Amino acid sequence: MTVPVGKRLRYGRMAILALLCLLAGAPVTPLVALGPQQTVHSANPKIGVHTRLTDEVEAWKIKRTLEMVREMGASWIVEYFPWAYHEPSPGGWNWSHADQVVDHARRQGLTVIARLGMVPEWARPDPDEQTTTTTYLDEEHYDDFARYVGAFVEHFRGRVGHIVIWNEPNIGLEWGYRPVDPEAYTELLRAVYPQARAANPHVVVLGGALAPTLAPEGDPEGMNDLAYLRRMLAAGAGQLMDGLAVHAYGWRLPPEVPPDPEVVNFRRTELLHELLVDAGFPEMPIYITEGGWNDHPRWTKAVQPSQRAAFTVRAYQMAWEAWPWCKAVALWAFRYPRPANSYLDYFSFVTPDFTPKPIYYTVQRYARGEAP
Amino acid sequence: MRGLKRRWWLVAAAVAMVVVALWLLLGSLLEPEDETWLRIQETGVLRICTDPSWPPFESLSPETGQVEGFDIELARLLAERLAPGLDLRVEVVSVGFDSLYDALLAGRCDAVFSALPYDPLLTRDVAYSISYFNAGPILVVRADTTGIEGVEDLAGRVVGVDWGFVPGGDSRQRDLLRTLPVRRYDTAADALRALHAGEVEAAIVDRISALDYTRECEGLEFVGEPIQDVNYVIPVRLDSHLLLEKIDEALLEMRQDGTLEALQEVWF
Repeated sequence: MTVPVGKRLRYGRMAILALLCLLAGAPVTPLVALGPQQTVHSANPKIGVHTRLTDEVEAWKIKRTLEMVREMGASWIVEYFPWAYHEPSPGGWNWSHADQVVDHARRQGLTVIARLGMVPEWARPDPDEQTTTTTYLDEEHYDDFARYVGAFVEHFRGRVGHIVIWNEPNIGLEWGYRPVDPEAYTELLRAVYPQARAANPHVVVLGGALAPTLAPEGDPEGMNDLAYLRRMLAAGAGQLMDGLAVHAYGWRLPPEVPPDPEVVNFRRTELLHELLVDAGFPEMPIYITEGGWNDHPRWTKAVQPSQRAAFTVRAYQMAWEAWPWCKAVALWAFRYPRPANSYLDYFSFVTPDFTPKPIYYTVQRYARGEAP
Repeated sequence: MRGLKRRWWLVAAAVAMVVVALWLLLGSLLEPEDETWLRIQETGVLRICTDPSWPPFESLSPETGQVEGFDIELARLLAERLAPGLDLRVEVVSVGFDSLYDALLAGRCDAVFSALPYDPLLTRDVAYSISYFNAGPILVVRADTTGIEGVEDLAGRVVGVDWGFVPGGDSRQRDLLRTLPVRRYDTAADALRALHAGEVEAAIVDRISALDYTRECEGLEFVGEPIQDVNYVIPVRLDSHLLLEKIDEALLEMRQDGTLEALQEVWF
């Protein structure tokens, strides 16, 4: 039987259309491949940075950021994995973006420290009754957060070995604008720690990540970090964490300025270490998960760009030579996905369009063992 | 028949006029109010937020302890033009740099005069005036230099920059700047001193540093306009549309009649 030409053409067109429909529905292969396994070459394996990939949408930018971190000579990254993004509804997990970040980081040879926080709307009070921020978590929902931490650790077992529980709980802004409460934070650790360890007995759970502050007693904005840690440890936090996350900002002071309880500087980290020793945890490691200097031309806590670069390298070196209890120094912040158009932009090592700032090359030369 | 046609034309014209009049009337009635502008008129006070830590735009006078500077003077001159005859008084609210936008949105002031650059990412939160100052990086050469008319003439020449300099502008300009043999100095003033001393053939520094330096030292000149725009603007709340309109009108006037330039002469 012969099919008329017109009919054949029509069948052909329908076949092409069907093929296009099939292709449209087919799973999309990622256009940005992970690439070959890389290794970080660095004279100082404690060098790290806090990346800001949480809101980075494009895969190639995630990959490029992490390539540049490796090329600078940093071995560690700290990255934020918001609970609200990964469990937008109870039990409704979505790890796609987090997987992408972690897999690219590991392919670049980087060790990931995951900072966990940000409360989803479903775990907060009804907004009609009480307005709350994403840092508001009442004790009723500690177990929900602990379940998230357990699920995260389980999902990334073998890929992410360090987690930070919450961020700067000693300031009101990060504690849902409630009075800060070291005992309540310790209870949060008590809820989280067994879940994390059950999911992966080798995971390193980091507590603290306190904001360095000299807030006087009773200040509604926050609590002095030294006082806060002392109360955390008295409440039993030492048994509920494997390490302490520290934020070590230098503001206008060089890294060598000696520690002083009345001063916020880079070596305040030593005071936090001493508190751990005094509480009976001399072996507990410290991981600096934020810190560094800022070179904004007008911000009152900023230094000149050349000073910032010099201080940064000297801080990395100090941790390498003199702080055996400090495992990593991840400074704030490698690159923002978009300009903040404020002093925050002057913490970064690379601009949003991937142009390295001079400090990037200074750290790179240092990591290569060259004179800065 | 012709008379009937003419009458129809007259009726149509009358109807059109009534429609236009109604449209204008309704338009003016439906126009949203600008409560900020109403309050400014009622109280005779224009409240401005500023972070007095950025001379010569705003800083605390060591003599009087009052906030002074280019922006404060600009606010006073603008106030005179916003509502002639009202004799508006400018009230300065000192706010930390981090909190300028929050203070505006929380109603602590009516506008921010604090050398703030235009931020496209905030245009859903605030409305911006037209620019009153461009603080972007500018090319500076010695007055006796020939052959440098723009960035494109810098190829192969040694250029002084401040230590934190990052090439900016469009991609062609960025690529060109990346290939230049730059010499970095701790500050913009150091780069200009090096230019003066003949260590480099040109310098690229922010326009504020350049104006500040050239006020004190002769022998240097700017080449054209800033090579990248960093436009200082005045943010107001989104519903302050009448205030913004008046600020823009006054700024345009001040740009045209030379007031802005004269202000620059005073503070740089």
